[in-house]
Amino acid sequence: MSTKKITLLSSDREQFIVDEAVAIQSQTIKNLIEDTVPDEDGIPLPVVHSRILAKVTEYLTKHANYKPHNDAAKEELKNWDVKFLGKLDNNTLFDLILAANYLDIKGLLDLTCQAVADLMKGMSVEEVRKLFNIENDFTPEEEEAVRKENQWAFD
Amino acid sequence: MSSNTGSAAKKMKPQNRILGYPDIPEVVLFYEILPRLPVKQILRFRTVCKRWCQLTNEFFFITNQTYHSIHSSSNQSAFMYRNRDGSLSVVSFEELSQYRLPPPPSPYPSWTPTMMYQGTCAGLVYGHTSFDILIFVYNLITRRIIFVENCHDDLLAPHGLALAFDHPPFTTYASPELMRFKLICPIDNVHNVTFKVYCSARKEWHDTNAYVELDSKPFDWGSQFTQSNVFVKGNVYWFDDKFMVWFNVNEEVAGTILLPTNHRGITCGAIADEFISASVGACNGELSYCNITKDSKLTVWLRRNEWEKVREVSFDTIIKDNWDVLAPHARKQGDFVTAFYRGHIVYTMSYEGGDMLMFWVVSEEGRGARAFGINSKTMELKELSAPGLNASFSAYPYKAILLKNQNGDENEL
Repeated sequence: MSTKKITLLSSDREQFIVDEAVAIQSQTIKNLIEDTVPDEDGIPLPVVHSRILAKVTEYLTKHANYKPHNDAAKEELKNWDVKFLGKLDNNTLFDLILAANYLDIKGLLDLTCQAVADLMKGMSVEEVRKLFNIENDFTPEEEEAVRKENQWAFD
Repeated sequence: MSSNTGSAAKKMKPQNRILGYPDIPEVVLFYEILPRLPVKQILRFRTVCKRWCQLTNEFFFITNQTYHSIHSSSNQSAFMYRNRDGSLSVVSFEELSQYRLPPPPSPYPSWTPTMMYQGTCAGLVYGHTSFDILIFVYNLITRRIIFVENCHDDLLAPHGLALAFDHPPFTTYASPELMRFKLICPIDNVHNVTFKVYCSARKEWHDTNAYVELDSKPFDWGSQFTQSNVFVKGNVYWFDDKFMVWFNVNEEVAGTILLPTNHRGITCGAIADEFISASVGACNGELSYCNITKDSKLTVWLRRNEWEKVREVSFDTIIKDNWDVLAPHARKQGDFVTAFYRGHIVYTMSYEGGDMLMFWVVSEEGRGARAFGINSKTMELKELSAPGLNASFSAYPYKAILLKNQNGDENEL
């Protein structure tokens, strides 16, 4: 078994040394390995902070080493994902979505986006505005009109 | 990131613009997060701000939701049925609530033909008008409807009509062009079946080379059972009492597979010797088949490579444990087996997408019907409130989605 190591470099120039098999679950990193000559310190990921990259590599390491063959193993991996999510505050969750999107890690993007969707499921319109820091730019009349148009959703 | 051109055509597309503090790009929000929410909630969130309102109305978002709807194994489930006045009701499983929606728009200015519903796929409802047999595809949430000329020259009702979508390999941002719908119309030539396909992108029917030999026994397209079909993993499946006919939408080839059981006699919707009801569906993204037999077993199969029996439960147990909700009329007669079984009153619908199996029960006395769902994993039973449900109306599994686009192109629902 080859255990070639890859060094990833966060935006604050912290090094993360991981197995190649772990790193290439990210399509972006895979392309970077194939297409670029790495600089001495490692593969630079200028938009991912070390705080987030630590989480990303934690996720990737678990998922690379864990190929579930049966339902019990799948269940355990799922539980691990749930625990992993449970430890995140909202800001970290959003940062992870950005990282998963940039690094093109489908599993992590699915997981984190589902988490945000689940978060939104119980929310009022006002709470959603707060979550995404959105200013309501409707006039009361306009808002009422949109509400009327979609009346059945508000019943 | 390359800069956007800002042309008129691009104006409505999601930008990589930042939406406030958490900095979630709009493409992620609108492609990845919102489509995971129940449709009702998405509609509610249209009042968040103008941008959300605008974007949730849009084609890109909508098509991606169709995509999620086809491919996700989410448990969001519902079914729809037609009311006496032509309006449609959607009964949601998640919220155990019911929405009544207006009837679809008529193709004519002065009168409204009866709409014959044939099925649903990925949130769209399809069927044909009763008199002039115009086939339609209808989004009952946005109320957008497309009418299509019948593929038969002689205005035969298109039995077995199916709605399907192209099935691209998974990409995060599925191209909208690939998500246009197709209608598949099986043509019964007595000893064989051929298929015509309507492609919404080209707006026309074409013949295919797909061909299924039927030997001696004709496939009964007109029966209640063969009319229902399911679209799973790029194939449409129809079934009768012995086998399934499948048609691959991408490659336009067809074939048959045997059913997991051999039972005698589903004929024209009547319940014959051995079982009460059967249906095809999709359970967690796999083709499924379920039936209720007269020895009171509810059995569910999934087909991965071969048929695999995944659940078998005594229907008696389900009934007895839920005696009061399930069979009040039967109780009155003191013999629920008689009332329940021989009265031909249980119909199954296996759900498109998730774990839920649905069935509805029609009372013998014509007092309307009651609808239930069973979670195929836990076998938990839930009643859906559907007071208007009547024996003479069909109900279909339904997965609500949004479909609408900004330029009013009738071709893109």
